[in-house]
Amino acid sequence: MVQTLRETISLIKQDMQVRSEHEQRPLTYYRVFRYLLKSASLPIVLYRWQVFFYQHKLGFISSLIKLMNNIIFSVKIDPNTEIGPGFQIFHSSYIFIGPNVKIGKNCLMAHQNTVTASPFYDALGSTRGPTIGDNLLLGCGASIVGDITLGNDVKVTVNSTVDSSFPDNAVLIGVPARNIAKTDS
Amino acid sequence: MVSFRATLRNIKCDYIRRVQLERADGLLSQLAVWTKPGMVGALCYRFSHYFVYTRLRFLCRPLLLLEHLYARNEISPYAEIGPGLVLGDIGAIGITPHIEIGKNCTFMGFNTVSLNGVAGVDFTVDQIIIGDHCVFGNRSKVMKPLRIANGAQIKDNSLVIFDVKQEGTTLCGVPAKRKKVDVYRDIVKWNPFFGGLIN
Repeated sequence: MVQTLRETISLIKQDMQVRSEHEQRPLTYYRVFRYLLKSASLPIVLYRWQVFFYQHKLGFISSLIKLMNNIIFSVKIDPNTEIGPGFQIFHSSYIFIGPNVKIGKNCLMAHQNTVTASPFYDALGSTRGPTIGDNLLLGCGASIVGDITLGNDVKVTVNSTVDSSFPDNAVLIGVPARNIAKTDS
Repeated sequence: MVSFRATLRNIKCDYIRRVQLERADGLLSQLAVWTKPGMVGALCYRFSHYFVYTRLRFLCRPLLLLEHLYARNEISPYAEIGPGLVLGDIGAIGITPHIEIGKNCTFMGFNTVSLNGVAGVDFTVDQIIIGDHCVFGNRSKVMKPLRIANGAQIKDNSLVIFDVKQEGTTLCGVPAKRKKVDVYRDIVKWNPFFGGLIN
């Protein structure tokens, strides 16, 4: 399914809306201007356009934008991904999102995160990246690796590595990650 | 609040420790130390820490920008770091305000020392205090109000969430656990990351 121009603009608008709700400030023209200048939010705007150009068979422009994102902000996001509206980054440094990744809406990332298919996929035979639900929260240095599925409202703490599937409302810590969420039963 | 004289002294200490670590004997290699991203990052932090308490506060912003572009560091000018700071050349070191760090500390790269990871933190009471001669390995992080004693070694990719009370402790893992304890005075002698001229 190809992302149209109208959809691209509406996605950027929704990202701004979620950011302004998070900062508890109304979305004025001044705020939009600030949003487009921040090093935490400009990479997301660039990423949305990257996907648009990639899906309309203008891969050259898409890769140029990717290079710019990499040089200025050191954020590398593959255009062959599906990230829902309300995507936020706190600090833009050393974020890598590989191809074939699906992330739901309102995803929130800190810095130095990696979300990718297994780096050894030639040996393991799977190029599918992780499939993640809504409201993901990634602490800084956390990474999600491999062909796995995570539910909604998952929180991943600092420096932990997730390499197996977990249900909704999980709180993950450690290398490899284990679930420490309190269950009712 | 530091004087200009103390700022210059701190920079001299950083430089001497860096030269010792790299074993830069020749004049050229000693001059090349000033172009390394880690050294430039430390310089930018020292001057921004001096300017932020004076009327020349507007000079902080370009210094921080230079630091971000050249070394990828984000060190707050309100953080208080003792003399003999060594930063890794990979950069991406984030240190937020309300943090006190002792002398002769080493940050290898990708470190984060911040209170922002904790919800509902009281900035008037809580702070992170790190002792002298501490070494932070690559990607090691501290994201909670706590105290770390002198001579702590924090290994690569570990997350510290408890107070470190004993001197000379080595920590490892997510969350970090105590691995071994060395005699603090002895480490200063044999480990090049500790020591330095200013003990």
